[in-house]
Amino acid sequence: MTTFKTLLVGAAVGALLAVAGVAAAMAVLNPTAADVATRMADQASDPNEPPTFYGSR
Amino acid sequence: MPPRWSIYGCAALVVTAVLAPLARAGYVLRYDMVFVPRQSLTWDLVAPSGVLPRAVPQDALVGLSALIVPGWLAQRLVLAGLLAAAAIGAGRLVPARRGLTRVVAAIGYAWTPFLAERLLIGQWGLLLCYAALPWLVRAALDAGRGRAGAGARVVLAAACASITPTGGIIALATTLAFARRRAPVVPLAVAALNAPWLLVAAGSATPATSSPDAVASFAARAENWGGVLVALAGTGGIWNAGAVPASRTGPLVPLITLGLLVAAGFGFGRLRRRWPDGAATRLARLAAGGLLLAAWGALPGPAGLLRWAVVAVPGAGLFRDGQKFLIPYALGLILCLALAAERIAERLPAAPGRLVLAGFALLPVVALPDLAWGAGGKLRPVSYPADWASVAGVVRAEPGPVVSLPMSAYRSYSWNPGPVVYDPASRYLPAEVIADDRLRIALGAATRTIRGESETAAAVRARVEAGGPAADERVRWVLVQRDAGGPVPVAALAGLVPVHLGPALELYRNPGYRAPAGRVPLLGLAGYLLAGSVVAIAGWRRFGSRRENR
Repeated sequence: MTTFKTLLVGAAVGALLAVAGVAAAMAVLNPTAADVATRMADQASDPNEPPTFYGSR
Repeated sequence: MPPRWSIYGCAALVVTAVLAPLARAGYVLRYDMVFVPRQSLTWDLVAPSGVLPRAVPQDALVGLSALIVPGWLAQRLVLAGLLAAAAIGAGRLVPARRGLTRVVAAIGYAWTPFLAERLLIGQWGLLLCYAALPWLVRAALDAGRGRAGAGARVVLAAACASITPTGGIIALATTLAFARRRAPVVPLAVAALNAPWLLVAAGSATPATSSPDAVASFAARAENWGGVLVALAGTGGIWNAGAVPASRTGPLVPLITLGLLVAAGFGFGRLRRRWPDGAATRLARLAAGGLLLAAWGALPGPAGLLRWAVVAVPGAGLFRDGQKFLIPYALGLILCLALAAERIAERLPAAPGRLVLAGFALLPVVALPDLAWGAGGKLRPVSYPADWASVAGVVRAEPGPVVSLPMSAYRSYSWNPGPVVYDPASRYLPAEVIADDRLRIALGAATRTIRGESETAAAVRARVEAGGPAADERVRWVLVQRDAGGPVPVAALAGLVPVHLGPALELYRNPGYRAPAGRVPLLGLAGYLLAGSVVAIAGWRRFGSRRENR
């Protein structure tokens, strides 16, 4: 039962930490990754673009 | 509460946290992950002849599953199943003395950068290998101890791992690493599980070599200031920036990785003492080999050797995306981390010790928070436009080869915002689909196009680029996807009869079509028969041994 209680407390703490982690990650987003995401989103919105990239390095 | 139930609870939490957005209706379509309402068992998918068998026997199994469950359900079952199996498998494998140590291993293995990145690029078949590996190692350890039915369990776990060629190689390498010298039957059986893709490739006219350009394109990639090797050491480093969770680019990630490596070293001694003689060393060697293969294409000297090999050695192209081979390393790292946490906890009073273990259990989630909620909303179900079902119905009534235009292997649809996805036509339509198989990779401002293998697709492309018709007498249908991939030249549709003109898809019949003689890939079928027989025998022996043990 102790394990279960610890797990529950851990899950609650984890949820809080995850929220903080998401905020931290978004704050330090690498510009390169942001560029990639923007390019991908742009590609999706224009069906007349030439054939799409499989991926970006 | 028994430790086993805490592992199951963790698995349920992980599945819920990662796949919650999949409660909505539809299909998650990302890169290589394409599920359709009912995938047909066409020869083109079961034993492809024009391209290399990268999804053999995966596509055949999905086609078989479609006889029982619809595609939307199959996708959810396989994704939830592999996450749960990874967590439960690692939790049961770790030689722990505390329940919380198993929780550390369960969450840790089901929440790695490797899993997140391969999930984001849609390679669920490879992730089945990831999920099966702890079960395979556990069965191999039991086989080493001489337990009844363990050999059959090795084969069954390896079968789950071997639905892709890379998974088959990893399963075979793992089996060989743990095998006893006097018991060659199990390794031979696991080798036979690779027969489908090997014999399909042998029976295909397609050369099993690939473009040397692909080595640099698919080599492991740095994700932050730590460089490629640190990215790999943290089980990340996938080649495609579009499949990297944003948190992996953070400045603290290399420091966390370093901390994890130090801690793992602290736990390795415990793994070596608790596992049978030499087993931990074998896993360490396997992990080191996988790490080396993962880094191979990114190191200047070895990359040159790999460039030569993919041209000269059939099948060497399997190693160009070497990061896939990190799976044994990821397992070894997590097991050692869990045992390190236990070792630290044992030096503390009970309550702080439990807190340390809980902290280690939550560390992967804190370090990679954007795997939660469908990888930060990236795993989002969408619905196919109604045109797809209409066109599939027409083709089903008169099956025959379909050319998919515009010529583009991966497509970006307005109804599937964000990621590109492999052309769904090859799986949605119940016929052979001729689609472009070249890959375009963005390298900064430049673009690299990796040549395809299909001679039929190359011929269609040449005709269209020359201003001619897309179809010749071997093509029955031409599918035009108006919502992706750019415009199609009017001349490409010359002489065709429109059958379906929808907002998303247009289907044209070729009146000049002449049905060729049917193809039955006997060699490939022999591979399926061999692998299927091995699985059936292993299943029978497993069932039999359980009955005897009662």
